[in-house]
Amino acid sequence: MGELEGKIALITGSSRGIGASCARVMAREGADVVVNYRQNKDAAEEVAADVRSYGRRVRIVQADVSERAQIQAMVQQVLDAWGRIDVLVNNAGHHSTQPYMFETMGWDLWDQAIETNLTSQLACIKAVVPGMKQQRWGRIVNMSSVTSQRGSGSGDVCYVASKSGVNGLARGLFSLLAPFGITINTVSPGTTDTDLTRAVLTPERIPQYVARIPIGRMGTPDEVAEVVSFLCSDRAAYITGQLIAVNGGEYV
Amino acid sequence: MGELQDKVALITGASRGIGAACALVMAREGADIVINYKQSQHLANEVAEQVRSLRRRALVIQADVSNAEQVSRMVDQILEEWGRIDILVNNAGRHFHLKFEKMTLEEWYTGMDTNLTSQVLCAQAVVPSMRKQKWGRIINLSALSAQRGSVSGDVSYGCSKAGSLGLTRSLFRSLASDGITINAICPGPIWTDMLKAGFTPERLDQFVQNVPMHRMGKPEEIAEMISFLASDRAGYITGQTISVNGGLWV
Repeated sequence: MGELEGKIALITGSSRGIGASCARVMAREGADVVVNYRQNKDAAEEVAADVRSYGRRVRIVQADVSERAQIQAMVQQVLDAWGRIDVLVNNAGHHSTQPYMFETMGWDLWDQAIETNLTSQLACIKAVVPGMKQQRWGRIVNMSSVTSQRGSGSGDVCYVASKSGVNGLARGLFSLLAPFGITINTVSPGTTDTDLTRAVLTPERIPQYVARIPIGRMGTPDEVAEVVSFLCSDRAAYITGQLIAVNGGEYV
Repeated sequence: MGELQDKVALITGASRGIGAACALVMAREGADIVINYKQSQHLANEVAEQVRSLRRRALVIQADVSNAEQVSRMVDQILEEWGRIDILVNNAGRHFHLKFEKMTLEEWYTGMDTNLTSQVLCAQAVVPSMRKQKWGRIINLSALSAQRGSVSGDVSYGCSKAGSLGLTRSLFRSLASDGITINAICPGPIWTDMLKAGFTPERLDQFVQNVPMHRMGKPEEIAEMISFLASDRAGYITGQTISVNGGLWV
């Protein structure tokens, strides 16, 4: 019996990277999975096939989580089809792949980071909490970043501030949700080997980053997914409001 | 296949409380368990029986882990009988109730030796063989008071528990290249003999009111986090302090 046996998990942005790993690991642990994607339908279908190979149910739902109406529609679709949502993994996120200078940046960069990385997470939480409260059981895990803890060496205030805001979601809500059997925690991945990371860091810069990681390598998306799975299980029922860092010792 | 399949785990102070809960959870996940105790031989043997009923091996070893010789003898025995130690759970420890102004130097040293020196001695004893096999897990039990601060002013306990966090931060870099992770756990109020002995029922009720989950934690809930950290699943987590406290401190 897996640690998530029979649970229904909605994972935003799960066509690739950490989100896709969460889908696979959580399916391995017995969860049925909703794979949300924005653009990459083929990738989402591949992830869905992996979930099915574990003998679990899967639904693929397209939605841009920076659009509140689309979040509502997505959640309603899942509730109509499967009756409940036990677990929300707020994984969808954005990082600009063009470097920018703080002094000359357009406000649109800031707005996009806050909207896609922070506001969308809160909107997803708002959508799933009523159902979780009713059944007096729920797990919410918000994906942050090591940059929210160690800061940025390059003036990347949009990403860092949006992820620092993410850290505040669990701190703001844990107390309210605790009496309802709902835990809410933050997972802060370090430098993780994903398409996003490789798009943001040039090949020349990756060794620089790895040099300051005591374990001597980037993390794998699976290593982040394992903690997410644990936190979403009954095993972690007494853990809430916490930030758990998966970063090879990059920040302590 | 459990997450700790065939790993060998040494748990100090495993006759009761969190230590005993670790023994059972980790055995459930497939580990063989060394149950260290100082005084409660009968209880330690009971834990061993429960481990064996989960079809894992159990070794019961008496040792006062604040004593270097006894720690050394214990680790030698494990290596002789089972060939290796993969996981160390630095759990042995005690609560003290000292009034600061009246604390004697001897009471200070006893607290530090029982709770912190013991963790250092055990880590020192197991690290060489973990380095050789390039795999290891060390989990240090700290306490809520190391983060929140003490209510009663018991400096010996408070400093020794804060020291566990320092031990974790001092070692994680130098162990990383040999596949060894070291992390600390800060349990909130957990329903054990130690907690019962330390507080009146009224104080405990007050305590629980402040926990957002409105309940104390179970020793198993600490054990589950420790089991996860001890597994291959958590190989990228090191140097961290993880709190299991029902939201009492964030």
